[in-house]
Amino acid sequence: MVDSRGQALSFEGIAAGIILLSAVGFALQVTAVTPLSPSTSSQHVENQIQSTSEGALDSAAERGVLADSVLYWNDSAGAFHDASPDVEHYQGVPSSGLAISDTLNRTFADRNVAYNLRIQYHTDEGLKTQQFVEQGRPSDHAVSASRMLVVHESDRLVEADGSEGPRLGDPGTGFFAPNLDNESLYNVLHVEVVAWRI
Amino acid sequence: MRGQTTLDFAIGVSIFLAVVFFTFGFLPGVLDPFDVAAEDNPTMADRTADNLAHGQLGSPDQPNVLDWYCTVEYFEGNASPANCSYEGQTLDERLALGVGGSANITITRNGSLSELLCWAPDATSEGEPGLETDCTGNDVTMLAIGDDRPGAQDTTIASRRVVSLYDQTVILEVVLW
Repeated sequence: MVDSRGQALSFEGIAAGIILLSAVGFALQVTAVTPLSPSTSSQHVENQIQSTSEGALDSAAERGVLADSVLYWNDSAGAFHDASPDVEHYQGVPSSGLAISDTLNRTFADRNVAYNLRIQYHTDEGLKTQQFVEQGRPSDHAVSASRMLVVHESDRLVEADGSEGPRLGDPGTGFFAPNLDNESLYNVLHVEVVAWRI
Repeated sequence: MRGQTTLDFAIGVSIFLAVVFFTFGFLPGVLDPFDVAAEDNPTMADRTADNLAHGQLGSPDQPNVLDWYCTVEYFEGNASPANCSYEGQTLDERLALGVGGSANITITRNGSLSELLCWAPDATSEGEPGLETDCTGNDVTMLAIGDDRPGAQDTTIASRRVVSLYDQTVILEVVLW
């Protein structure tokens, strides 16, 4: 065995192969590629959800269903009509009587997008938040869109069947937001959608 | 013994080469998800949809609310009306996509082509104009314009907006390729 020096043995081939494969394995671990990994295409998806959220709010506001929806309040029970028991708001898919429900379902539910809706209102101590629709905890990729809505003392609550209820400004009418006592203005609401892919 | 390949050497080198070829064959596939076929198309689709929803068919001071007259005229394919904010007669002139760009624009009720809307002068029972999905009558305007969408094997970029048209919430979809 004069010339056995300098030769690769099968053991060395296996060792080199393991080193290469573990390098690839490490590279895969540090860049976990999932459908939600950040890339140009998932950024595009987030932009889409953001724009559709804004569009849904704009469109609902234009047709007047946004105001009807936030006024869909049961003033004797102190909760939204047909809200989930124990909480004042909707969990999961909102009641079909809600005016905005059709818009939201058509926009989001068919496209595997979950959303939360909340309403911020002004009080003497500052902004407070009323949950409206809650479908879970937003993911890291969630986007949000909001729209301002002014309610007046002459606006009426909406009954469960869609008919007109008592005026907001009438004494004894209960609503989640207080009356700011600024002439005919009742309160200024900020409706916010937080949407994310599921 | 001289000039011969030992069995041990042959096994070692072939295992090593097999792993090398496997690795180099496999690695490019790992980066595939990050690769968007046409880099600038997502932005372009987004801009086009924004341009339509906020400018050409609507107005900047009331975004996502489309003017029904301008919208119907847009899909009619005639010369642009004077009081609408788009110019030109063809889709290429209105969108300025550049050479080789193709576009398809639709307005649907829920985003699927089976619910494609059309504008009918006598949609309601009282003969009032409106939007409907049953597009069979005379002088209806299909709310779809542009080239036919390519098959599933080609890369397209879609951008959709939820807009209000004639007091209905509809979905405006722009497909570019």
